[in-house]
Amino acid sequence: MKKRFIAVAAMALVVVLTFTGCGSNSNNSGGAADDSGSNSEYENSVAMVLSGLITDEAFNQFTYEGMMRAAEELGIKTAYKESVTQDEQVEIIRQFAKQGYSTIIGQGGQFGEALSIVAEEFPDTQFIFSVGTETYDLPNMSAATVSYSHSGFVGGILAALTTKTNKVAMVTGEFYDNHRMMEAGFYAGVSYVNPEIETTAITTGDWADTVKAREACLALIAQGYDVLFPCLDAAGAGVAAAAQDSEDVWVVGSVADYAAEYGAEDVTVGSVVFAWEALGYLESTGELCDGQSHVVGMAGGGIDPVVNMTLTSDQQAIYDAAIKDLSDGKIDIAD
Amino acid sequence: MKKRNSVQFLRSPLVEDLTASLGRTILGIVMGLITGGILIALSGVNPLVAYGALLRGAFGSSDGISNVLVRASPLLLGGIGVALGIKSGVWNIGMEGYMYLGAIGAAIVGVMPLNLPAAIHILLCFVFASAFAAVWGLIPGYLKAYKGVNEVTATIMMSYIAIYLTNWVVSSLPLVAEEGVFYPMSKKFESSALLPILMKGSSLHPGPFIGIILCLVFYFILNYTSFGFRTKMLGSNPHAARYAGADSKKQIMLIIMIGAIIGGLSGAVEVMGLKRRVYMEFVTGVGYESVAVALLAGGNPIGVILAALFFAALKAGGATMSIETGVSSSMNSIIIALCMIFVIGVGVADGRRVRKADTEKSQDEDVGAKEGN
Repeated sequence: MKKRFIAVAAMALVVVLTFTGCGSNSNNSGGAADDSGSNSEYENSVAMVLSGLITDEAFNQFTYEGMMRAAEELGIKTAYKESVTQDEQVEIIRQFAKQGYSTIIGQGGQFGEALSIVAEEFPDTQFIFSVGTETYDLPNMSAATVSYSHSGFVGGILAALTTKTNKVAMVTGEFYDNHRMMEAGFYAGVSYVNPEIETTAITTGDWADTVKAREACLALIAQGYDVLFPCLDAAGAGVAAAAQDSEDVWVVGSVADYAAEYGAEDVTVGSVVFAWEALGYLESTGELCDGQSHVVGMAGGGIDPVVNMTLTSDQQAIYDAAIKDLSDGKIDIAD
Repeated sequence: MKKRNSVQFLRSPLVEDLTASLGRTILGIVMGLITGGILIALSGVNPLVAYGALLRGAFGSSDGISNVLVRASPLLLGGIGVALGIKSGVWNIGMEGYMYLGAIGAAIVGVMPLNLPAAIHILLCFVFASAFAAVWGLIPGYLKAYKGVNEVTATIMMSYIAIYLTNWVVSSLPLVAEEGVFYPMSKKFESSALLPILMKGSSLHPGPFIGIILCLVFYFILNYTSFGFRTKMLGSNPHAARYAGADSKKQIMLIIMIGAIIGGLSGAVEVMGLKRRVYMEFVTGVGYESVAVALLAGGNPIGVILAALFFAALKAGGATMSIETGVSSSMNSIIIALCMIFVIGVGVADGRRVRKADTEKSQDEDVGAKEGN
């Protein structure tokens, strides 16, 4: 009896794990959306593969909406496949290429290798590696991303204008290359305003763990840091919570609008929002299909700063000058 | 009773296994597909059109078939690893972790420019993958066999450790992790360490065939060797096995390690044949699906081949179904889960019926014995 119980319990467990495991491997897609306007059905058509759901209120949804805006304006045929797991990337991308879509966008850094494999097989199809910089030396593969260093710079300006203790900190999950660039931009932004300000950057080791993020931020606050600049996913809520639980601590958000999305308008002085929708739109229009690597920064509308605090006229002047210098390419940081 | 006796002479293991379990399984699958069809209809798509797209996606072209085989590869290898455990009464369900460890092992030698002939380089990758996974399996194996730690907990926890270990390896292990990329990944495998592509313009690598051969090999090991007999004895009655003089502790540890090694090979094949690099979280639940494959097969190695191909066909066809008919996102997982639930349910119901028949039979025999006295 006991043995049977264990067997049944194990089966139940496996079913649960299979579910959570393949929660992300399920497939959705909407087939064809728009097909008007072109001579051939697939002329200028765009297919997008996404690693998450197009209803995630974040990266996947916004890039998808960008594509749909382009489809509406230009009357092109589109298709997508969401929740594409690692084991099916090549298969799905190849399927779109075989169907005849003229541009295929891999939305996310994990699609690079799979795109390059299929791009070699279909030299007449354009491929865009989104949120990446690698083009694998293929003429029909382009890369596009928003500028992490520009967003770091703007975040640095806002943080430096806010701090009273002259200590500001960046908080991120882990340092991948783009976050190193963001960190460098952040330091450049801070010292643009005041080179005397002390800076640091820490990692929490987890993009979604709010408790870890909150604990790490409380430790920073105890050391006297009074402005936090998070670059996190769901864990950003933990940063906001740490600021809300402390006196005179402020948050400069990035990626998402912290005041609006994390309900932290009381502590958020501003956010450097990544314009994923604009990126998805740009990629779908075909402008980026030139075999180059594109970094869409301040000038191209890849990032969209939101300022929630009231700036004094002096501060406003500094901020405006910084943004102008950044847009004009006068700031010496990597794209 | 008479009928049951007449079946006795058919008791060659192959015939028996296929007829007994296949019937139940197919009934369960059909019920699952029908229920899934009702759900598809409720979501506003004609289920016949949807299933038509599914079939076309899986079997309609040589591409479809190659997609099915490619997806079956990790399920076959993982499935046989788990099935072996099921046969010996051990729930060795840490396939996900073994796959990661195998991939790490393969990557450590695979990304090095060793200038070896392809055959030797590939073999070296497999050896490293097996060794890494074997060590990973040794831990829960030892804990289960000699310390009585529940293997379900131990193997699952080891999987989580493996996931994070992989994240570390691909983002910061010198010489293995790729530098200057936005998404953590290992360096690309040397071309001499990549498995050959068997069909041009597809991803078909030798993995699925390795898996099928291993399933057949283990079928014969289980049924025709003393090792296999010890394994099955342990599974059906551990006390009797101990009484008969089998070293059950050693056997348990061996079974878990063999499962781990096959799992490691599965991960290595996946990165050397399909991915060309190790990515963090590249397995995405396939390890757990292979447990489901083994359950669907009832631990039977031949059944694993069929179950893995069935799962793979549903997954590959399901992708086409979604793209072509716009069936909603979770439907594919739902259909797979429904099939599993029905197969298990039919198995339980049928098991009860058989047991009841057995009880009646033994009562008959008791009566007969008394009368004889």
